[in-house]
Parts: sequence; structure tokens; C-alpha cells
Amino acid sequence: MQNIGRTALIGVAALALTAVGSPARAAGSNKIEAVLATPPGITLQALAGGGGGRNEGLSEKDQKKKPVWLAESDVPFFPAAQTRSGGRGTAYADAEGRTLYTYDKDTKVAESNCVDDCAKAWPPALVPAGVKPSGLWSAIKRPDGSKQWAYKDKPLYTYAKDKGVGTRAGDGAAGGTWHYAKFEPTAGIELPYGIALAESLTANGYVLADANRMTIYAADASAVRGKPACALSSCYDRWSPVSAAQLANPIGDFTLISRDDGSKQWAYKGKALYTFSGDEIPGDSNGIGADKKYQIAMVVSYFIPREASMRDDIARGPLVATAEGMTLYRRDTSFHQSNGHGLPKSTPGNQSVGRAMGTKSCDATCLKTWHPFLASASAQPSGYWDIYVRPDGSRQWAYKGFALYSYAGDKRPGDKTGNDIYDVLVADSADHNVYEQGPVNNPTMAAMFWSYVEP
Amino acid sequence: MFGRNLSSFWAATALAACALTSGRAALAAETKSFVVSWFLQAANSYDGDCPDGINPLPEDMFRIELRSIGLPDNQIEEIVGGVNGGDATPEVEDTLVNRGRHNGKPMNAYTYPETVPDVGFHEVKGKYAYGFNLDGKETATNYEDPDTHEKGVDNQYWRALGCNINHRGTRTERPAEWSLHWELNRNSMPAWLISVTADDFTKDGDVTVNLYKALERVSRDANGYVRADSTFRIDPDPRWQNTLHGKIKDGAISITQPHEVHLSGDPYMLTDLDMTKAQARLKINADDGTIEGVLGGYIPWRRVLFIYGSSGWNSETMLGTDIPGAYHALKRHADAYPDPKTGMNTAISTAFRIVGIPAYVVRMDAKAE
Repeated sequence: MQNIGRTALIGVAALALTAVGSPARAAGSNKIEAVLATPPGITLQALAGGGGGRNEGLSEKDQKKKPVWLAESDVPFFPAAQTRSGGRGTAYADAEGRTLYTYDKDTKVAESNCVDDCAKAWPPALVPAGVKPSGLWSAIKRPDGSKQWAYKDKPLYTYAKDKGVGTRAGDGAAGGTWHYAKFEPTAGIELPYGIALAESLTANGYVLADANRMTIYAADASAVRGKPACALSSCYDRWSPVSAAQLANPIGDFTLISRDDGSKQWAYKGKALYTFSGDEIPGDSNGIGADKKYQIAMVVSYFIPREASMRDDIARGPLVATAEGMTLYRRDTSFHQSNGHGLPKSTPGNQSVGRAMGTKSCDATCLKTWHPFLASASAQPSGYWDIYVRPDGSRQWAYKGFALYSYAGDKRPGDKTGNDIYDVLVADSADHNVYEQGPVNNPTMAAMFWSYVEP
Repeated sequence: MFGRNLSSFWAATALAACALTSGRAALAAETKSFVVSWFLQAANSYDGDCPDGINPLPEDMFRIELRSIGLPDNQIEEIVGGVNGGDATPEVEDTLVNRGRHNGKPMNAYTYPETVPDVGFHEVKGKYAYGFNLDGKETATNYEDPDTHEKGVDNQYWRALGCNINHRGTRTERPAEWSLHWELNRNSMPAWLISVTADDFTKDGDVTVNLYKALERVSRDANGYVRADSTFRIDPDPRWQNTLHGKIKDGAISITQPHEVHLSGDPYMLTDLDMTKAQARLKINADDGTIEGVLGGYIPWRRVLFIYGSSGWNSETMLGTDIPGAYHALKRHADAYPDPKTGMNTAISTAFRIVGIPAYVVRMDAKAE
């Protein structure tokens, strides 16, 4: 009941991340410091052949096929056969989306063993000016004085022979000494029995979950030591301690609290853990904003630009929006992308297709009603967020490969009137050059759909 | 997503149940709500309505088209023989997908249907077809409605494709193409809802018909039918909320004020219903509480074409509608909203049969209907 009419703007945690990539801590909040999935300048790209569960990509065979271009709107159209998913995972990439690699012969901490000819074949991933590494991400100094990204002390490189975003031609090269940098946000995190990690789209990252996969919240200091944050039973009933076994031992960032009733309760980074009675199914995070003493127990945060937010739509769940809450949209050739069209959950766009379209998915006529979601001059891409440079030099945010737009028809935060708008691309004349190239083995009719963006 | 609002959902459901059970006593107006269980082209096939014959099956359509682009018979038979129910070899598929020709060059038949010679679908020339007189005129291309005997009925979609075997049907025998589309996709597409409000359904008077898109999909009962008495939330997006006004007379509901109707559907069935000058007649069945009737109006013909085109090659070989042939037929028979630049009509008159079963319908703000 507490969520009726709620339009929560989530993403405050990420606001602090945009500038220097520091751990998430929104001003005025007592949020647990979460590891940032990637610092500015490091992005996440679905690998060819699909991947990441929620990210599709092109198969290696299909990568070889070039997209054809719809001259009408200058939009590349990938035949449906090229957009099937495969499941190859997600890789760390640089700002241009180039897959990053590690090298087995880099055996010394903070030192690259790939120089000269090696560095020509494997260009080092350089730290952008003004970006301050943090957490597991560090900068090592190369012989020429430049600064190279390192993750968990392993220097990172791109591969000169990689063709396009999402490829990993260098994986296994040189006798298996090169490996692509796999995005494994929860690897190495020690968890006690009965506590797991779960990706929360609303919270925009990985959170703690209990044995029933229910979201866990962390209470501030006033709720520690067995004293619930509120004394009334009605309040107490809302927040249930995450119990630990009597013989449980602390592990990693997890410690134990002895409650007044003799039971034990888990704490994470010193903060007592609870579940919220308003969460009804796994993945719910209705406790966000329910009580300022309790914050969702974030472990890994995804980057989100300061211009953007995750809006919790009452009908759709989390959607990508502007900081003011205006819905953002992407344009894609796939029609399996929105709730309005067939599926209970939209099918994510093919990141490679989005990349190929860039800012071309909306021509001059289109731009009268669809407005590019622009990035500031100093903004850096990170995580699932890319920045594309428009023909006029302005910079446009893209999410998971697709350039983002707001819709002129939306008047208020929460409006989604641009969703499901589509155009059937059928030429009435052979002289109407819909495809720039010749015939293509596209077994279906082409259309372009606008849809809101689910994280 | 569903669960996050479960509390409010059940509260709303309870309100809805109260409204539906005690509405007669508490409210001046009464509302009956339904979920659409069938939505099909309103077919009315009978002997003699296609005097030029029923259109050839897909294999024969392919033969005609491939012959017209100059392929030799032995090659044509090799291709057609390799269709194999939509599971053709890549070479066969490639030939059929690119069976258009422009200056001798192969062209994609779905993007460039104009480059495929018109096979000339036979048209429905019978006297009767379901629908409404949408333009107020009576012309040679109009029909007479078999139920109401209204003359001047505009239903050019029926004229264009009604002689295809997979479109043949009657009120009780559903046409195969639409039945398959609907049956396959209604499980996954958002449900469509009907709410009818009248002061007294037993008396003649004004009536309001609301058509909504739901957030939920239909569920099935043990027999595979759409489950009755389920509860649906109305999609709060105002684009999918339609209010039509009409009259109820002797229990028959007629929309007397043509209006636009917009519903989001599924690309494999009907990507969206984007209807203008919509009229409807509906009747609530006293025996089982269902509602049935005809909804007619103009819809953009390219979006109709996309019903077939979105499945492309599979639709042709498995469901049997030749897509370039449908393109030519729909374009030829389109009868409304000419493009100001080209003069080409952009919309086509049509009529759909709509059937609903009782359901609870609630708004996200818990206002029950």
C-alpha cells in the first residue's frame, strides 16, 4: 500500500559517482558504500553472440554481415536473423566500447609487461584526464608516462584486431595468455550462508538478498544493538532482522549482532540487516524511501549520469528517465521491446545494433518530436552508459548501446506517450531507396519502434 | 512488477467486487465489464461471394510470381518443392524473400512489394459483409450487413483479402489466419477490456462503452478458454483508454457517435488497433454474460499489412497469405484518408468481430468499474 502513486526517483546514489568514480554515497544519506561497477571511461558491453542474460549481441557469424542502411532515416537495419541472442557474457570495455584484456605475463603489481610492438598490437587502456581511479580500479604509470587502467592490479589493454563493439578476437591469443576482462561484479565477495547477491534494477546495482531472495536493507546506527529503529510493534513488524545461526561466524564485511532476545542478526559493514514486510516477491524493493533509517543494502552500484535517474513506474517498474523524471526512449528495429507489445518484460535491444545506429536512428523530421538526451561537455561514459557525438558536435547519452531521446508529447514526469510509436518501412517504389545496399535476406518486413528503456 | 502493487491491487479488486456486486443499489449507473476473448476479422463467407474464385495457395502464388520474374519452370518447382512448411534451405528462402525484381536485380519482396508483380487477389464481390456505413454513402463497392441490413457498408479489408482461403469464415466458423494469430498471441499480449455503462440495461437509453488495454494478460481455464471473472488493471496510459457513446435499444448496444479507438496489441496479431470513425454494435448475452458484436472503422492499411509482414516468410509459408499480393490488394482497395502529397489512400475500412467474457476491471487509482 505504501507505493500507491509513488514515483520514486532513484539514482541518488549514483550522483556522487559521476565526477570521480568514488563509491556511492549520496549526500545526506546513510547508504552503505557500494563498489562502483566501473569508473568513468570504462564501459560494459555485451559480447558478440549475446550475453549477460539481459544483453543480446550478434553471433560471430552474423557479425561478419554488414548492416544495411535505411536511407529514409539513415538507419541501419539488421536483418532479424542477425539479432538472435546467444549468451556470451558482458565485458569491460573502454569509452569507445572496445573490449578490454588482461595479460598473463603481467605478473608484477602495477606494472605492464607489454610495451613496444606488443603495445602496438595491444594498446593500453588509458585513464582519461581528470578521472581519479578508486576501489579495485587503479592507474599504473607506463614507461612513456601515460597512465593505464588496471583492475585488481592487472593492467588492461584493447586489441588492435578487434573489429567493432562486442568482439573479443584477442581472447586466448598468444598461447592463451590474453583474456578478455569479464564483467563479474560479484566475484570475490564473501557471503555468509543464507545471504546472496541479487541484481536490483530499481536500485541500479547488486544488493543483498536473503535465503528467499527477498531484498535486504541496512539500518543506520540507531537501529543496531538489537533495538529496532522504532519501538512500536507496527513499525517493528515492518522490518524483520536478518537472523544468523547461533554458531555463525563473521565473514568478510559481514559481522554479527547479538539482539536483546538472545538471537543473532547479520550486519554488513557494521549496519544491521533487515527485510521489509512491504516486499512481496523476490526483487521487490518497496522499502526504498519507506523509512529514512533503512537503506537498501547495495554491494555494487551501476553508474548513472547526473542528468539521468531510474524512475519506478507504478505500472512498469523501473524505467530510465531524465533527472527530472521524464521518460527516455530508444529506437530499434525490434518489436519485442516493450510491455505493450507481447512480452511481460521487454526484450533488451541488441547492443551492437544500437551502437551501429548511433545517433542516426532519428533524422531531421524525427528530431522535431524526439529530442536527444545530451551529456555535458565534461561527462564521461561508464558502465552501461555511452556517449555518442552528434553531427553538430553535441554529445548524446546512450544506454546499453542505444542513443536516448525524450519525447515532445510527454508533458509531465511519468508520461510514456512515446512508447510503442512505430513506423512500418515499406517502399512503394523500387526507386525509393529504403536499403542503401542491394537485396538482403531479411525474412520479415522492416519497422522501427520507439520504446521506453528498462534497465 | 506485479507484486510490488499487490496490496493496492487487491484493495482495488475488493473495491471492484463491491462495486460490481452492490452497484445496482448504490449507483445510478450500472457497469458491466469484460475481457476480450476473441478479436477477429469479421468474416462472412458464403457460396458465390468470390465469383472469380478462391485465391491460390501459397505454393501456387509463388509459382505465379516466380514465373512472372522469368524463372524457368524446373527451377520454380525446385524452389517451391523446397519450401517444406517454412523450414526451407537458406537458398530457397533467399530466392523467395528476394523475389522482387528491379532492373533485373533481386529485391526484397517485403520491403519492396511493389517490385513483385501483382498476382491480383480475387475480391469479395458478394452482397453481404459485416460492418458499417462509415462514410454515409452507398456506392458500388459497398456491402449490406447480413445482420442489420444496413446498406452502404464499408469493408474494403474484407474485399481485399476475403477470397483467401485462410480468411474465409463466418460468425461461428472463425477464419484461420486471424484465429491463429489471435490464439497464438493473446496469451502474451496485454488483454483488451470492455466496460459498458448504462443507467439500466433493461431499458432503452444512453450507453457508454469504454475500451481499454490492460496491464495483465489473459489466463486460461482448464479447458483452454480465456478464464472468466479475472481481474485486470487498466493501463494508465491515456492513449489506450477509449470512450465511445451510444444507445441501448432492446438490449442491443450501438455506438452512435463515431470515435477513434487506439489499443496496443501484438505485432504478430495486430501491432495496434489505430481506428478512426469507429462504430460498434454489441449485445450482452443474458445466458452466460458474454458480450459479442462488431467493431468497424478505418485503420491504416500499412499496419494491416504489417500483421502479415511482421512474420514475413513464415507467415507466407505457414499461414498462407502472400505478402506482396496482400500489399497490392490492400493498396488497391484502400478507401480513406488520402495522402496529401501522393493522393494515395492511407486507410482501409474494416470490421472486426469482438467477443468478451465477464471480468473485473480496476483502475490503478483503485476506482472500480
